[in-house]
Amino acid sequence: MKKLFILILLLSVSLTIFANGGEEEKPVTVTALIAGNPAQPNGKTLMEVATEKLHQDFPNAIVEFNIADLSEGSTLTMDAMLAAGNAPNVYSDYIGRTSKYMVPEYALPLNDYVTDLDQYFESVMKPLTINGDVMGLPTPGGIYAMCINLDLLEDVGYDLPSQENWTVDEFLKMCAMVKAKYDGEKWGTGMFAANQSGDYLINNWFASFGVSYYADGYDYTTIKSTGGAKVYEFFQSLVENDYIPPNSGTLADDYYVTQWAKGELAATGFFEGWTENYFKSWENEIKNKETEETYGRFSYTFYPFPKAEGVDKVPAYFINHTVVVHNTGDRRTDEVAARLAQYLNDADIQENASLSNVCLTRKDAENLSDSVMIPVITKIGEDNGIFDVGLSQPWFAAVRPKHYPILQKVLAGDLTPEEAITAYEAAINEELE
Amino acid sequence: MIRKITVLMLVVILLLPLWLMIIGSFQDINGVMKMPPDLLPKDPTLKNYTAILGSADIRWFFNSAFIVILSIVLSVGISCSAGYAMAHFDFKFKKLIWILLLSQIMIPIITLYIPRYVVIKHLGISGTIWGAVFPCVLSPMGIYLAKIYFETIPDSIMESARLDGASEIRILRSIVVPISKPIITALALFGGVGSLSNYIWQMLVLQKTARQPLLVGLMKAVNNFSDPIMRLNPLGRCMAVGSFLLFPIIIIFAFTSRYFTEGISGAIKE
Amino acid sequence: MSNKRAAYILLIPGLVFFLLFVGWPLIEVVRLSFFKINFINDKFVGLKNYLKIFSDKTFYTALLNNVFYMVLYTAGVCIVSLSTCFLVFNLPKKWHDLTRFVVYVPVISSGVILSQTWKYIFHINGPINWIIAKLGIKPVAFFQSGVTGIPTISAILTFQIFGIYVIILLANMLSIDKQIFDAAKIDGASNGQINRFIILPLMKKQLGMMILLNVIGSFGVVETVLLLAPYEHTATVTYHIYQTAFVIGKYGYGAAQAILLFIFIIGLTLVKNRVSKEEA
Repeated sequence: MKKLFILILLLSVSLTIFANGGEEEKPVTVTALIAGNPAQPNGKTLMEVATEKLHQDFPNAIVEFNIADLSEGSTLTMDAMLAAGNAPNVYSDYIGRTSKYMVPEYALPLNDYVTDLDQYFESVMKPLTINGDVMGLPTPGGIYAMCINLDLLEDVGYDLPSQENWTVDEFLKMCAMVKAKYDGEKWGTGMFAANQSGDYLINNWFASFGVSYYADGYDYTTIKSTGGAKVYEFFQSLVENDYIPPNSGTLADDYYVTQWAKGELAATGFFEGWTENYFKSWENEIKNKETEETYGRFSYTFYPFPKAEGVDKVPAYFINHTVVVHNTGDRRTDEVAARLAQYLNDADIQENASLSNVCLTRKDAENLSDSVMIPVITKIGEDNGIFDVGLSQPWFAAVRPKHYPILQKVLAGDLTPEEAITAYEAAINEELE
Repeated sequence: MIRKITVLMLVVILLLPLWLMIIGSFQDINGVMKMPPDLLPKDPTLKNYTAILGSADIRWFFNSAFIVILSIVLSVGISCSAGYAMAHFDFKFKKLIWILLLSQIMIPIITLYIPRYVVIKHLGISGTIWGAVFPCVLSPMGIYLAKIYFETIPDSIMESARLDGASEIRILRSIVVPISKPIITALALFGGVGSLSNYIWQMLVLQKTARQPLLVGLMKAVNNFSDPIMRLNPLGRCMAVGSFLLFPIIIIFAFTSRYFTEGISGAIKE
Repeated sequence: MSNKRAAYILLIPGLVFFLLFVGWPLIEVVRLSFFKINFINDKFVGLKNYLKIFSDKTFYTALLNNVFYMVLYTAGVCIVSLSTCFLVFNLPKKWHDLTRFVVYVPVISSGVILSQTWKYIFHINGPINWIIAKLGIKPVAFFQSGVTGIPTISAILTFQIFGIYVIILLANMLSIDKQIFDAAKIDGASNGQINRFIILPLMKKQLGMMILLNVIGSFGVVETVLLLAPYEHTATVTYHIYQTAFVIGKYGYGAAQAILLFIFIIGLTLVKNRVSKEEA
């Protein structure tokens, strides 16, 4: 009996020893975990193009790619690899996930390694910089701004002012005119708070009132001290005046987008990348149902969210991916890894990405898409800046689900604006400690 | 008569979701979104299948086959030996060992994934098919089924054989193994199918494309939204993957079901 | 005794695999539950994670949901599998084989893929709602709220698993000596009475095990819920643990919840064992 157990023990031990093998001088190997492998010109893929460029600088480097699985939306893969000690050298993924790793204990400061840092826009770089160290490279992404239904505005007789004159007062004027003609059927804007999904479409309102989420350094939230209560007051006035659909607090974002596609919302947060899809899906529904509903696509444009009194610019919400490099301490490997990161996000790659209607983060990349809206939206970002909601911080995923329960209560009238903003401030600060 | 009709209705209801999935895999984006769904596709297309097969790597087939075979051998072996031991022997710590073996279902298995990943790294099998298979072959359900199956062999037969001086090995050879075909087939089906659908773990361990099995490789291809072809009809392509993986499963099942359903009930009858 | 030795030898493979892939990870999970983990720099926090559970409202919501699942899912599986057995029991063997094949098909279908089909079936514009609309009722967003979501998901899960129990229970039923039935029939018992008073009591042990397995299983459901309805009001405890550990990124806290759940389920099992021991 005992002999058997000893035998098994020996077997397992020897397996382990065998596996670790002996260390020898190997060429530099870098592993990369990326969230997609888009096709590039000349029939190549992102992985191939980046590897080719890397080999021009480091001919002997070996690159191993792995494509991250997005379907489960978690950091399981990265966490497991980190726990086992084989974290990838380069990690490129949605900023909500990479933010966990853009910390000095993990990420390599890229200032000395990446040669084209100055080509990136200031406003996208700022959240990724800690004490002057650049923790990650921003990829192209989507700007979420206010989508204006031009047909509906014409219908109710509202003259849309220029972007500079797009104030909250004008917005309210517009809501009143929509209500006057379509009370109960169409509304000035939409709202939803059933869950956290899509919260970026609503949170932009904080920017309208000049509220900022965090102080420099992200030590505590300034959501209350910069006047967040005004935003909740504003929301409650929207509810009282019937400027938003009834019971909006109980809706989830998939109802909201359908309302938009039906043309029921005059000016509301949206994303250019969705418009075609939702128009098409709504048209499909109309075609297949036996209904006289005739909503079709409408002409629209994008504006920043309106500005409240005393506010000069209203930054827009921006969501993208970032590329993070692991600081392994081995300068040789880190150098190669950082260069790979650079080539995964250089001007060529970004220009190619622009064909999928995203907004670029580099000055030296030209937007090649023939979309009419993308230049408009990009200009909104350039003119107004990015609204920093702490996406780049490791605790963002823990903070994010805190808002919607509070928003629900605000919309239902269960909390006063003061109470709500105090609760929100406390909830956020709890995660920051 | 009513009973027979009810059973037939049950059959239809049970097979309907599967049927919809198979049909959906032959449709393009308009067909698959159509309401009510056609029971037979109006414009059948093979585009979903060409898309996924086009991105399929031939190695995936071999990997899947290897994983299935290895899983079956190991899980049947472990379940049968443990189940048999539980059924016919009495020994110290029997109760404790029984709870230990079944304890796996009492904890959310996903929380075990990260420590397991570290364990297989220590054992040197991370990134290999061994690493993908070994942690998953211990099946509480399998052990349980084996136990109740072997319990149907009356203890008296075992006792008399032992009194006659037969060694345990002899007993195994001449009494137990011959009647084990049904349970082995049942556990093989269980284990084989389980290993084909164990997505999250296999995706975590087998990251190199060359080592991936069918389900992981195909699902990654389908979820690759940067590929314009894949983006066009994700639901249809997903259904194609599911249907594609279903065919071998159902064929195997149809052949083996006779053995194991007959087996469990047949042996219990004895 | 060679008897015992043989038993231990037979158990070696199972125990080795257990120790390596269940026992060791389990101990790790316990260890990690005392830390605040981000896998970069972990901080020891002692019992803080466990104490946090008691003030965590979302955990209680998930727990409450799980109680509903427990009841609905267990009842669902028991009722549906038993009914199916009773339905087919007296029919000729051909029907047995057909039933066994058909009920097992959902079991062997890959849950991950089938979930997409379910999402589609219960979609606001899906087939079920289409039938509902034809009946003149307003379409239901099945996954939108807990009231509709939990029963729907329970139904789906029942559908996917009851086949196993049909096979086990049917086998049991068929092994009952036919003479008992003949005797009962002579005494004038109806089919329903036979079912209730003869068959059910004889299957008590299997039924008990089935109930226990399902109760435990109702806590462990995560994949289906994940893919179908990512809303908090349909969350099971395991789903909540997954969210906490991997989406929000608090692995240590999630581990503490998992260990607590584990202890709870072991308690349940021991209670069940004690109860069935008393009955025997």
